[in-house]
This record gives sequence, C-alpha cells and structure tokens, in this order.
Amino acid sequence: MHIDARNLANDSTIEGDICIVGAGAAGISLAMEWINSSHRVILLEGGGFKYEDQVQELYAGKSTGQKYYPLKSARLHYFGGTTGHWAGFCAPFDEIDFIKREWVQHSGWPIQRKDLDPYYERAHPIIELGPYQYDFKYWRQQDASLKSLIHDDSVVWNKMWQFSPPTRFGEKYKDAIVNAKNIHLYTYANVTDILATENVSAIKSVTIKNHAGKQHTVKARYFVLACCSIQNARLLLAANSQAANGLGNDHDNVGRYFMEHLEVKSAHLWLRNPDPLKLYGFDFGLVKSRAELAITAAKQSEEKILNGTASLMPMAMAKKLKPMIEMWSSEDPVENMDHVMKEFEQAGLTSSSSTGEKAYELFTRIEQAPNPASRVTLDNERDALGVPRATLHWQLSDLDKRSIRKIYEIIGQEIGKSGFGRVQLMEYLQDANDNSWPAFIGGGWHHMGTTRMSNDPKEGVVDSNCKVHSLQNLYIAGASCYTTSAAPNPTLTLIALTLRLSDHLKQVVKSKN
Amino acid sequence: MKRRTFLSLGAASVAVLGTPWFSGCGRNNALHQALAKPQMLAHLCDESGIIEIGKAYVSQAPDESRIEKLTELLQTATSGSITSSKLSEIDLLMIEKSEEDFQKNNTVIVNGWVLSETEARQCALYFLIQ
Repeated sequence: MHIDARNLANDSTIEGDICIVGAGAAGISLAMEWINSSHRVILLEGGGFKYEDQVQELYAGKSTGQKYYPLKSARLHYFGGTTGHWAGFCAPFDEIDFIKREWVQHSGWPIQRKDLDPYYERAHPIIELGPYQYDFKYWRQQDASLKSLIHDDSVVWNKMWQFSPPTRFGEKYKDAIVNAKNIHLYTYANVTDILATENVSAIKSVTIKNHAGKQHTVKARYFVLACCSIQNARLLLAANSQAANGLGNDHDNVGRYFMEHLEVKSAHLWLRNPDPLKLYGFDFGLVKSRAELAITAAKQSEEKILNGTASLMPMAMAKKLKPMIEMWSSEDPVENMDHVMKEFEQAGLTSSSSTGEKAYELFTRIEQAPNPASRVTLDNERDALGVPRATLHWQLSDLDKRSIRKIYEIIGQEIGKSGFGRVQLMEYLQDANDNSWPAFIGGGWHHMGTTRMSNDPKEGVVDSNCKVHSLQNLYIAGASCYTTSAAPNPTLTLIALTLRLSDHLKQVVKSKN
Repeated sequence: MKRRTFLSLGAASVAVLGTPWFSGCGRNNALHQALAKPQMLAHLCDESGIIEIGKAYVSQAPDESRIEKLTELLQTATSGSITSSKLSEIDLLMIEKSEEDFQKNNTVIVNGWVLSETEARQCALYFLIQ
C-alpha cells in the first residue's frame, strides 16, 4: 500500500506495529521480510519514487577534515535509496574483520562472521548474486582459464567478489512493497523528530514533515532507523528535546567512529609478459565475479595492519581516469554520475575486456581504523524542514596510511616470488615516515559506523541485535551499526545484518504477543 | 654452481636470451658488465629507469656505493662465490639469487619498486659503471 504523505490531512496520526524509517537497501530488505505477516508495517520514505532536488537538498551538509564528497550528493534520497546508482560490488567481510585485534583500537564486534553466514546466503538473491561461494577454487572450477598471480596463498590470497546487476531496489521491489497489504509505504515522509516516553526508555512516536507543509505523527510498537550512517546519527542527535545529547547518546558515541573505505590508486604492477589477468578483470554488467588481492589474517596480524585489498585495472585505462574525489565534486548526484560515466567511457572502461596488458594500476580498497574523532555532528544551520544539518569531520589515521604502504610492499614481495613481474608503489607511499595523504584520495561513498555495535553501552550505540542500548524499542538497520568497516563494499553485509535484525524482531514481537 | 641449479634454471635461461637492451658497457670490465644486468627489470623499464633505481639505491645504502663492494656482494651466492671464469653463467646465477631473495623476503623498496636485494644492487652497479 502506498500513501503520499503530502495528501494526508495535516496532523494525521499513523499507527502500526513496526515503523521503518528509510526505504533504501536496509529499509526495503527489512520490510520485504514482513510482507504477508499479521503485522502492520509502516515504511517511511522522505522522497518519492524518483530523484527530486528539493528532497535531495535535505541531505546537504558541511564537511571538515579530510576532503570528502559533497554530503548532498553522497547518498540518494528517494525510494530505493542509494541503490539507485550503486555499482553492485559485493563480498562478505572476513573472519578477522569481526574479531578484536590488539593493533586496531576499538575493533571487535560482539558477533562473528559465522553469525552472519546464514544471512549472507539469504541476502544473495535479494541483490541477485550467484551462489554463496567466495572461494577462489570454486570459481576456478567454473572457469579453468582463471589464473592466479599468486602461487602461495599463505600471505596474499585471491579474495573473490560477486557483482549484483546491480539491483535497483526502487525498481525491483516497488510493486512488491506497494502491493503488500500489510506494508504501508508513506512517501514524502521525512522524520524530523523522535519522541520518547517520559523516562526516555522507549520511543513513543516520530514526527514526519514534507515540503507541502504537512506534519504527521507516526506511532508504533517498534521503530527501526534505516536512513544510512549520516542520517541515522543526525536524527538521533537532533532528537534532543528529552535528552540533551540526543537519543541513545548517553555515552557520547552517536555520530562518532564514522568510517569510509579509503579508495585510492596506490601502485603499479608491471608484468614480464602481457596478460589479460582475467581473474582480476571487470566488465560492468558482464563479469559475475572477480578477485582482488588480499592479505591473509596471519600476515595482517604479523604486520599489525588493517584489512585491505588491491584491484587491478589496465594502466592505459587507469591513466585516463581522474580521481573520484575530483569527478564527484558537484552537489548534484545525477550530474556527478553522468560525469563519472562519461569519464569511464572515455577511458574505455565500459568496453570489452583487455586482451592482454603489461602494466596495471593497483587500486586500494581498505577499511578505515575506527576513530572516535571521525564523526558526524549537528550544524547550527537547519534544513527546509527544520532539522539541523549534518556536519561530517572525516579523519584518517597514521595506521590507515601505514597499512596501505605495507599492503603493497607485501603484494610486491609475493608478485616477485611468483615471477610474474614487479610492483612499484606510487610516490605518496614511498616514504615510510610520511603520514600525509595525497589530494586524490577518496572514499567509496560507503558511510559506516556512526551508531556502532558493542555489547558495552559505553563503547557502542547498539547491542548485538542492533537495538539502541538505552531504548527498549528502537533498532538501527544499516552500515551505521558496523564496529569496523572491513574492506568490502558495505551493501551485502548491511542486508545480511538487516535480515538478522528482522529475525530478531520477529522473535521479540512473538514473545510480546 | 651446482648442476641442480642449472637444471632448475632451464626455463629462465631462455628468457635471458631475450633481454632487450643490455649491450655491454664499453671500457668497463666484463665481470661488472655481467653482474649489472637485472633481467626482470630490463623487461619492465628502459635503461634510464634502471639507472634511476641504481642511483636511488646507492643513495639509500651508502655503504654499498662502491663498485668493488657491490661486485663482492653480488658475487656471494648461497652456493659459493661466483668467479669471473664463469661469466656465461652469471645471468642465470643472478636470476636464481634474485629468486632466493624473494623467497627469503630479502627485499628492498627503491623508488617505490619492491625489488630483491640482488636486483637493486645490480641496478646500482649498472649506474656506477656508466
């Protein structure tokens, strides 16, 4: 069922069993789990079914610290969320990503990889991936021509990725959501405030507003924030009429530990003989899987580095591509995407596979060390609906830089061992004492960690079930719950985590009935 | 040089023949010329690239900035000292020595290149004998 909140009588009250705030990958995945249940699910989307600048403008905000993309264009604000233009890169997090690593401060999830495995598998069909198989041996059995650059996987291994078509949630799941009798999708329903009970132990209602000047109240037994990391933190911080620091923020953790994937060109691989390196190749929409070079857990532990991977792109193409931080500079996400696609076409990135190159660029994708000073706060300026805007202070650390350098040193050693060629680190990585960052470093538009998971309320905002510690009926879905960010793009994991949350909520609802 | 080593280098020896641009260095002695040929790098960069690496290595390892020292270090192999009487074998011996370096993580970073210690020294020697 779909209702346009602009058409409701002003000051309407909407009631349901579960209220999901945000209809992106997390919100829609969660709502889909409840279709045909006996529960009335309210799904709130701030925008409509397509891009509108006026709605997108609500995401605008300032950035300080490390240069970042304009906040307005770093997420999409309409039904389907940022899946409206995501690239579909998927891989599960590794076991080491969940454990406490002595050399990574604030690491260690209260859940482990095995806890997510069944949900990863369930997430696969939602984003139209192949079998839940990420073992290089499996993929080589499917295609014997896949040749590894590494002979010994005890130090560097081939981390497999799969590619979603990519699934556009707004298109793929619109009919299912709109036609579901118990799912009540409200568009143009921007949450502007969250009201708790008098003793601030539970959420009573949320206030929604839109540009038509309408304001409504949504009441539910359970609430789930699924608005992405910046907006989840922003909403909690802005809900400060009953708790001075915002809801769920008794220990000043909301908004902190903002993490991105550092994505940056880092080294060159020179091969003795030209090779297409099919295992590592990527043709958008054609290739179903590929490998990136990753460092084993044992080696990460030995070197005390973060988890990251290197992808390969023929040098001739890579040289034509401007850094993303330059290409994605407009406040308008549509304009940015057009720009990027044009650049990709000019670089030959959308054409058929390389038949054999001698030189490749190695591109890093690495977790950012959890850092409480890397954070989202509220600005004094408010958006058109009266909510304080978000300010992002993205702050990197020396460990981030040292890890990138060490990763390529290790890869260089292993490529040297294999005899395929040699690796040359880019200039910004050559001085081990230089902790500065080059102007071309960017992120993957992967916002994570502002409501991090920990079973200790002093260390995190949500518990292992994604419930906000101090509030009995408020849950959070999405990458904001990540304790650490791992190397892979966040979508697969956030859907898996959302499915796990859904199962938990079903148990909770059942036990309370 | 043991016979086992020669047998294991059969494939590499074919590759050595195809080394692109090493053509001898005129007045310098034959041993230095033979030692100063980083075979893999010769396929990946041009002569000026090798010289740049060599120059950078000398600067980063000043103890090894003399031809005599580099020659001595390069001649020392696991299987014994390499002598000038075996000049024809040196290419293969250097390849093996370089491979051993990688296996033992005897690597250095020079101008960003992750190199075996041996090939870095070869570049340095090449730079010095120019």
